[in-house]
Amino acid sequence: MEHVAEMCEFVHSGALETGMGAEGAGRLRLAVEEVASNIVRHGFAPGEEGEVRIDFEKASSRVSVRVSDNGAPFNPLDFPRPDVSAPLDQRPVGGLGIFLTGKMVDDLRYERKEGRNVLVLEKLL
Amino acid sequence: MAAFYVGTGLRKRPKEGALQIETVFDEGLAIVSVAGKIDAITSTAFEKALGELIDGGHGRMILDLGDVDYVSSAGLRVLLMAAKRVHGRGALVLTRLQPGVREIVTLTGFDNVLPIEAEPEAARAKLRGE
Repeated sequence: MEHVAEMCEFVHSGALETGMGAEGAGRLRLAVEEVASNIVRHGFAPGEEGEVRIDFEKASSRVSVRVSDNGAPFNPLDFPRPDVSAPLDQRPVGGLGIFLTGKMVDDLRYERKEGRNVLVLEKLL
Repeated sequence: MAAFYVGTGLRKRPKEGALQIETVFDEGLAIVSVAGKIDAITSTAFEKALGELIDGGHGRMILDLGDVDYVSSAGLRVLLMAAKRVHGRGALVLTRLQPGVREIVTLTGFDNVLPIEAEPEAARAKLRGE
């Protein structure tokens, strides 16, 4: 998980350097943490060596973060939306990461390409 | 501007981070003050601290998150598990949430799952009335 922290810091500091405010950079950091944590926890078999690449790009009005990995095929956009109105005793533990990811960014796109999961997160400046 | 980061050799290796947690006990209540970020790394320490309190019989807790500026789903998971453990014999009350954390709590419906009070005194009053 220390790699997750490095990825988050990479994106967070990059976002701040683009002039994105602290709030926006924090949201992007959270989105990347959720995505990267999922990949590290579920994308590879125990003991399997995995690779995650993060491409950070600033265009004129948006920041684009592309998270790709060579793990098992997984489209987070297919993950069922949690019931956020459920009371305590009906709440499953977990399942909120992908939901939060979508809430923290302005656009989220997935494709499986050349044996890699590719998730693109975009945040407007 | 473009940059990339490549992390290789990834394995599941949880590592505890530098989250500050202080607990005081007052009139049967555990007041837990947390500072820092509750994320995928530090949530382990957070879970351990709450778990030890609950194991020790402290089911009525105020969680002062006034100095917490970031909570991810890992932190929410810990809160949910703790709340489920004390359900019926105590309560966790969150207080002094920063706006960003409050937003996460609201988005995920955790304000329907855990009581939230703006100030610690209101949290105390709520727990005394339980």
